[in-house]
Amino acid sequence: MDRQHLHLTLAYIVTWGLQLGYLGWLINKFSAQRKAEQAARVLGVLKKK
Amino acid sequence: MKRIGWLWAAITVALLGYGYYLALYGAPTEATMGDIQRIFYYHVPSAMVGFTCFLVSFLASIAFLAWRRSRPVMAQKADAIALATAEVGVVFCTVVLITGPLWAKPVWGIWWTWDERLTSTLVLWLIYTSYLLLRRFADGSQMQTLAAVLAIFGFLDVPIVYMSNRWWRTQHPAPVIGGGKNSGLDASMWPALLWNMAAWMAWGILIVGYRYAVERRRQKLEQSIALNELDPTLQEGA
Repeated sequence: MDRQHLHLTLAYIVTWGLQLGYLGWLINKFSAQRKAEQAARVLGVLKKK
Repeated sequence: MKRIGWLWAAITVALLGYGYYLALYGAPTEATMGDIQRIFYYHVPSAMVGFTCFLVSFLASIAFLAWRRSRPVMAQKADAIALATAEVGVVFCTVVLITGPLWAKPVWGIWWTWDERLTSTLVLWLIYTSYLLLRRFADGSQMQTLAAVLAIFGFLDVPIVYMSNRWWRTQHPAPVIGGGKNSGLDASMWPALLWNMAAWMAWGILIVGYRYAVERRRQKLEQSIALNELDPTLQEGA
């Protein structure tokens, strides 16, 4: 692979990597939020669904 | 709402797939730069979506400041939009700042130069990164107000970034869209650019929507905890 194609490949990997990495972080944050809500419901802080 | 979300996600994946195909195989190879020019089909749409996110964050921050006393629920929604768009904007701006040097090294022979376009983009990224740091490490309603003010001032850099290669002679290439005489793109390259713009915009809307939903849930939980601490009977009666 020459330098041009190496840089092109890296650019596409970085773009997809950052976007999918952010999505992964967001899914993890959503999961943590749901756990916090469940705990709050058990403690009676949050109204049951 | 969930069904619309999944439908939107499916459309986004299809658009991204088609955009990827056009960028790498559909568009012709540029005559002087060669295949490295294909970075352009991810670099420009990322900049466009990033700037749009910062514009929405700017408008939502103004709405938050206008409503924070008179319409608190709407103000909280505006604040959640401002945070979601700023965060997604930083992700797109990071893509721009990394893909740019990856294109520049084989073409210019250097990774970076302190010209007006590159420097103002880096400043924009630093401003919104500090916005996110402020939101991460400070707390309370005063933080929301300070963050809104920072987002409003931060957005002032976006027109400077956009106009920089029109106002000054920069190392960065001349604008492709709205650049005046002798600027523009070959007709055969437009489909790859436009499809990728549509695809990354759809992706941006999808993740902003998801981030907004997470932030609203966090706000509601925080509100319930605060109410409970104030008067535990309020939650039982609610």
